[in-house]
Amino acid sequence: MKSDQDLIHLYITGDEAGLVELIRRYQSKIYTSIYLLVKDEYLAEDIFQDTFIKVINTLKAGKYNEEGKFLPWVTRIAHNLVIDHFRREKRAPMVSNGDDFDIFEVLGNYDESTEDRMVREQTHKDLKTLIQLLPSEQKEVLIMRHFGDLSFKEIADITDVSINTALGRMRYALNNLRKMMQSKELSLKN
Amino acid sequence: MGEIFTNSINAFINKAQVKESVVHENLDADELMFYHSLRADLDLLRKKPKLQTIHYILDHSKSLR
Repeated sequence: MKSDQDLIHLYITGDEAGLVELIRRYQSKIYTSIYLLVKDEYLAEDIFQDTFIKVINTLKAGKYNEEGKFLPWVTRIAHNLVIDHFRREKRAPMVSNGDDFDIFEVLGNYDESTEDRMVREQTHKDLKTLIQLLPSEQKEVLIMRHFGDLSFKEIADITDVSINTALGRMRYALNNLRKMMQSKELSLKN
Repeated sequence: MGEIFTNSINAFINKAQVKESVVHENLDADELMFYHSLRADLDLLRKKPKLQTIHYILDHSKSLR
């Protein structure tokens, strides 16, 4: 199997197959990360498209730093585009992101019909809902770690925090998910 | 004197950076167990973009030739 670097070289030297393989290799990781952050399929498609157009333009311009890893680099571009979107929209993407975040306060905001709907939904839909309730920083780390397959070092670089902070956010994300699941008596299949 | 001070500061900063870079990237056992119990369900959330989006990207690339 060719390395990312080989594929980039192939593409830069004029073989489109390099780009096709890079997209095939990472489309799910990048698209899922974007989608879970913006919660809208159409918007996620647009941001995914804009992400790769930036990737292409940078590669074609010969500005790609070969020392960097491809996936963290693309994730950083996607992450910045998501932030740009929310800045333009002037709305917070998630419920809360402060230190005083209280998961039980969020759960209290659920009305009966929403809760009823959650019970009916598939497990993965329930889980998706719970992920959306996490504070933005925690959700970001969970998504980048699990769906983006990034190391905590790479996440720390992208989000401009220390490794310990990134790790701490993952811990809070897992603990909050567990609390929410216990509180809602949700159980997973596995 | 100033140079010695700068060197010392840089050495201190570098040491701190190295220390941070070797932080063990694992979670606690309890957290890991919970994470592993979640993994399969998290994987169900994976999605792919539409083919149309991929084609648009590839067309853009070809247009730059």
